[in-house]
Amino acid sequence: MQYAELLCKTSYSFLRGSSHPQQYIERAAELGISALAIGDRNGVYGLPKAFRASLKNPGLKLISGAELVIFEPDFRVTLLAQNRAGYGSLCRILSLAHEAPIEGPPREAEEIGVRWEQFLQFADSKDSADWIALVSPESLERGTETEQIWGRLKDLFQDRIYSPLFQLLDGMDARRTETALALEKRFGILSIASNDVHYHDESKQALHDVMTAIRHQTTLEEIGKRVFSNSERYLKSPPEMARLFGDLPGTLKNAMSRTLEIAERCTFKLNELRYTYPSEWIPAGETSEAYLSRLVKEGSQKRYPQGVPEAVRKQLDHELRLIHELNFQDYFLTIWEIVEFARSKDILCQGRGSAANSAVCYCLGITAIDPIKMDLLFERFISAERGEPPDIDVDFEHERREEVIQHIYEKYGRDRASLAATHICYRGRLARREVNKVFGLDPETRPETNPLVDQMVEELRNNPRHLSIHPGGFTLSAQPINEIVPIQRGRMDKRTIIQWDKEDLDILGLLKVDILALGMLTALHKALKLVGKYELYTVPHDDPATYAMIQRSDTVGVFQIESRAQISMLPRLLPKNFYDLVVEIAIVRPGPIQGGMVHPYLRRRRGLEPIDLPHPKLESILAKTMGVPIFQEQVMKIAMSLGGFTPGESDELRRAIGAWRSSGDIHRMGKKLIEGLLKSGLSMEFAQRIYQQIQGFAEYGFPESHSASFALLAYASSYLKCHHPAEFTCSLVNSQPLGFYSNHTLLDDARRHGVAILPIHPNISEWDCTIEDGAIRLGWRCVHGLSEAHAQEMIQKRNTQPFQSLSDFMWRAPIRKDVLQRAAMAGIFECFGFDQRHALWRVLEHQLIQSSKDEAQPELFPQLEAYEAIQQDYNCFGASTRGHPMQALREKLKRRIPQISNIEIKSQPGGRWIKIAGMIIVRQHPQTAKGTVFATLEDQTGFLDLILSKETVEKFWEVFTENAFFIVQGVTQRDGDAFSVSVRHLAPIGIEEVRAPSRDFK
Amino acid sequence: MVAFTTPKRVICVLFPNQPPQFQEFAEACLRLTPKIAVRPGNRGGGFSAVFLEFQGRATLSPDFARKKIAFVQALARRMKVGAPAACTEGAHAMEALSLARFGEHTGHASVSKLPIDALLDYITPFEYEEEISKKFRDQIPVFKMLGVSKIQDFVRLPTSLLASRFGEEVVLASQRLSAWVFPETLPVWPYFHIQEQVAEKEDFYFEPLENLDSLLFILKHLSNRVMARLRGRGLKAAELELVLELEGNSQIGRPIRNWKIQLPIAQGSYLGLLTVLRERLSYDLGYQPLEAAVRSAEIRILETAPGHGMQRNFFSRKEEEAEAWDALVGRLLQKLGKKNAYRAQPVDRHLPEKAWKPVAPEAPAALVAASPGLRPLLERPLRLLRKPEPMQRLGDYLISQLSKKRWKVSNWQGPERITGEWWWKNFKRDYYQVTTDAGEKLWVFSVPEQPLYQLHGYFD
Repeated sequence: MQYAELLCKTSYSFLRGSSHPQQYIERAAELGISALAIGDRNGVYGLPKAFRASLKNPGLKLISGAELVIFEPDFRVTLLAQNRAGYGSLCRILSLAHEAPIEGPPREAEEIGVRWEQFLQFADSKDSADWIALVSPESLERGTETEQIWGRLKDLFQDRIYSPLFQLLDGMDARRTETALALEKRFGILSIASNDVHYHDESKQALHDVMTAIRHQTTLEEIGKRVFSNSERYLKSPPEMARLFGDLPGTLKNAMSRTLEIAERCTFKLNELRYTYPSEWIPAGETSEAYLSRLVKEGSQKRYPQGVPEAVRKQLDHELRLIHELNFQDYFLTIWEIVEFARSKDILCQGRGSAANSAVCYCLGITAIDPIKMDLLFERFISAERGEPPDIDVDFEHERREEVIQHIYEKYGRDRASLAATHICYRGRLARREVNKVFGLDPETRPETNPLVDQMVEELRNNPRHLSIHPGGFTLSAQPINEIVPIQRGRMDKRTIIQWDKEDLDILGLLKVDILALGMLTALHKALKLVGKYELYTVPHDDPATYAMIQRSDTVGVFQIESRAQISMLPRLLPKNFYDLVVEIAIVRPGPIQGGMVHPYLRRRRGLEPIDLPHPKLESILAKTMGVPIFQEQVMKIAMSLGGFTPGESDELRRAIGAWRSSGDIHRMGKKLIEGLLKSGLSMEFAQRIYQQIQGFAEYGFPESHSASFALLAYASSYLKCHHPAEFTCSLVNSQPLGFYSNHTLLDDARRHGVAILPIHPNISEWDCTIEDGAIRLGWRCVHGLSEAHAQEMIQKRNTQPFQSLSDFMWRAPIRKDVLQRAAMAGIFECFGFDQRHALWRVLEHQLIQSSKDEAQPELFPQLEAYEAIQQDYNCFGASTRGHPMQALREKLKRRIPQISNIEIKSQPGGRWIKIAGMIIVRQHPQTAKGTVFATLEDQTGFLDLILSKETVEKFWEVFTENAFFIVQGVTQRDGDAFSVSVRHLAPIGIEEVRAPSRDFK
Repeated sequence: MVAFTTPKRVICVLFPNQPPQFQEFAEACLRLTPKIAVRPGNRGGGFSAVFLEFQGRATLSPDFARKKIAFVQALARRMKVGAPAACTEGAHAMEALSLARFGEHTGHASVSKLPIDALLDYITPFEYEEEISKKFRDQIPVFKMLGVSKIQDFVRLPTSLLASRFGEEVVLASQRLSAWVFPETLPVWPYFHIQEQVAEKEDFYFEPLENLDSLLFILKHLSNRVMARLRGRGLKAAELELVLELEGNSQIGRPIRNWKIQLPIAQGSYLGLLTVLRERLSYDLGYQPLEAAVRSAEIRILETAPGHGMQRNFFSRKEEEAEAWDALVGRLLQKLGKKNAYRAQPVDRHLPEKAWKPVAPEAPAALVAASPGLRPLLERPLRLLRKPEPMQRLGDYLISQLSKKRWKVSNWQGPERITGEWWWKNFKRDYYQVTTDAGEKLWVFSVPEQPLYQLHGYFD
């Protein structure tokens, strides 16, 4: 006998179901179940993934539904959508369930639902006419209202309400049968057979128990009866269900066949969601195709004022044809409109990623890279074969991105514009911590201690944990979005999100616009304003001094090439031009490292080995990267020109590369590629080398276009650092948080470049740092704990009347007590004639008794020593204008610590044993490094790279992670201009440390 | 002007937290000097202390404090209080305490070298005050920023400038640090007193008691009075001593008969007490009768436990019922022994043999957790076998493999499938309620791939 399972909770019920949607679909198809309804709690989170799996199992019907929580009285109803209208109204009531007040905190999971009156309102209207409602008696608490509720539900739903009957062998089955018969007799509500499914297979019960314990924040020992008493709630086959339901009395015998009747009535499929892009703002009288073509033409004339080259025109025609064919013109226009808005508000923005492969995007001003000049591959961006929507990501200044987001909300309305969600899933460390807690272990217990725990960690991985907001991925629609997918409020203020993530939007063909934030754009904008000479794209190209600075690894603060790994690569790669920068940015990533591309490339650059191009067609593809494929597009081009792949197939190969860890496609595509390469006359050795190299890409390789977009910003920031270090550093500090380094490192680096740093002054400093006669005057924003609102109020008062004395300042400046004390100890009030301690002494008096006068103070306290003064500066504003802490420490401790500086050490040859002291500002533990840790040691003369082997790290782990100042012993290593120290011994200096933040393991 | 005062020394005995015999130790110290003060540790601060003040010229001797300290340490050892964390002496309690708290770690014998944190001992030496402690803790970093990290740095600050910056407590501490100048600033000594023991005695010199019944009659009144006094303190009796003084006669071997009785369960009512006394006396006097008539009886309470409250609630029977219950349980424990009587408390687990646990009878009854949602409690057997008994099923019969007893089965109801606890034992059982022809109802389970059934319990 056939049946349809109509109550299934997937893992997208967030810790209430322990199987993925695709597992359900595959299992249901295996068992011969004819239809399956997904009913996750308060949402349709898992539907797109279930839909995608169902496409591969056409014999199984997928029914869309959700379990809705009702309050007062408390119960749950599963609603199944019969048709498109039913689905739309289901999304709307789910949106209502997630509605939280605009003011106030977002609701906790247990508070999500609708009130009974709200449900009645919905159900009483035509909105519910296309629902089937399933209400289990067990979800209704016993009480006098129960009868009324059943009666009301029957009135509302008539023949569209059913009561699921379970036979779970838990001692309650007889009672359930009685209740089902009573319901039928009293209210005419018929029963349907269901197994109340929470996992696709019995073996998932253990994971379900773990999830229940996590949800209740308890251990398995304590969970008691909150877990199910047996493992029967799995997807059962029709014969199994027939055995359970076959002997039931009266009309309950038909409980199984009724499921099929319901399945028959539910005809809605998710691909019925027809998506219309908003386009009401296209000028009257023009179609969107014509408008786009016009804008591209106008843009191309601006981009090529000397005349649009033929190659460009051809490419533009090709792209526009494809865009129109695939019906994406509205999407491009939307992006263009957003970018135009940003430009009108003087907000710097730039497209990134594969969009930079498009000449149309370049002419529309969305991207800044000329793809023709750079010979980039358009099919990396869109291909007819793929047929998927393009993905255009645009970076905006991070401090002003909110203006762009609010513009989108205003223009389209909150009902038609919403951010995509990110389904945060359990990954490594978090899964381990949660499972450890559930087993009653210390959350930090390392793996390999308990096989059962390890097994549960593995099973929990990749299960959804909660919803988060995608940083900037908007989905826009011509019709209300909540007819397509439910909307819920995000944790951030003024944010609404849909229940689907980026992958789900791709599955259903919904378009997404990524509005991203980039701190460096903010910093560049500020720096350019301070310099007053250039715009971002008019910064002089190919400046030799800039490239010389880059080659010296003097790149602290520079975009993309300031990390420890980049700094160590720069003296090896020695970028001399823009394309070298493009390669530099792309090559220092796990993909090329794991794929074995880095060393061959460097050797060939240095002329240590010949450039190997075994086929003439490879010349145009690989010549610019020394015969080594570094970018995804190069692999695609090799596949197309030598492997016999079509553009679409080559893009499929690229995607297979990105997904190879989780799918078998890479092997199939890789085999096809090797065969094609061999047919073109290339050797097996070369073909396999290519295959091995592209496997190294996985998801970590960069597209060339993306790297080029970033290289533009890297060059601009390098140029500004080289020629305008004061303005550049000032802007970096004013744009924090961004980049790799803290303020103190940036300021010390500026000082080493001859920039004077002036302290915070009550009568001069603004909120931001400013330039004062070529020096940087620190701003109030650097002071820990001081809010901008308070600082601006203070500045306003100061501007009306400068502060005459410390008392005057304390009376008029609205500064918190602890901030004032720290400011006093940082010497901010020296201008009023107080040193640090006496200023604090005065502050204390004011704070307790609000004395109004600065009376003459006896000399009660000794002056701070140099190191102490620096300590107090760091305590107040995270840096010091008095010098580097190491300089002061060396003076204080003299022979007790090594006096040799970093710059002196760097002149040593390799292989020398050295002992040096410094402050560690960076600790990194790259995944590809096999346990090796890299660190950066700083002193007043600069930086030193440290390398700690796995054994050294284990030996000195606590010392390494719990201190800031060290005495390091080790052996020098030199490779040309690249210098580092292999650490053998580490000891803390043992002094009360400054509050200097370090970048640890990020 | 320096005030003339009698020479004195104060010894501070410091304990981490508060040891169990803290009160007893303080009482014992009264043998050394009548001027004892205690700082309890159960109200915060992380330590407790006993202060002993000695006055007189003898205190001027250099050996005086050392000898007293040695004596006090030996006393602590003998009483098994636990080794004090420190034992120091000073001119007053504040000095002794700060040296005990900080001097031992830093090795300083002088207050001036102690860290600034010791200042708090000059503010509140005899008790922990949350607000003052918090305020002072917030001030310590400020002192350190000013470079005032030790007491000697602090005393250089003019007292007149402290009030406007740190408040009155710090000013007081400053003054107390110069106590020889400002003796009036010394804190009041909180004298320690021994807590009065609850005891009731009755004399019958003119009509000594000759038999058990008349004795019990008197003990009933004594018990009532003793329990009433305990009631007034919100306490119950946990251990008592009964002392009977017999009529004087040189031939009597034991003129005083006494019993120390630890009650199996603390009693709040005289009824419970009386039944225990009756049974004990009946038993003991049966073996060793009284040699003479009783001329006085005394009940002394040696140990107490928290009780219901100081006022009886006359509108509720709950206390009466609780007291009756305690009396019954106490009697059962007395008769059967502590190991053989316990209360069965439900445990929230599916595995039947682990779904309850024995708890001490005096533990408060735990509420049975309400079942989630609609689930009512499932029917469970009244008697559960400690070890399931294997049974063979042959047709309509179940045959025990141990006793060979046979049951003819008239009805099988089930299965109720219980599985789980895979993290510990991992079980999978199908339970059946089996009704026999004889009217018995058995609880029987089967395990997959095992041929025999298991008898687990009886529905009596």
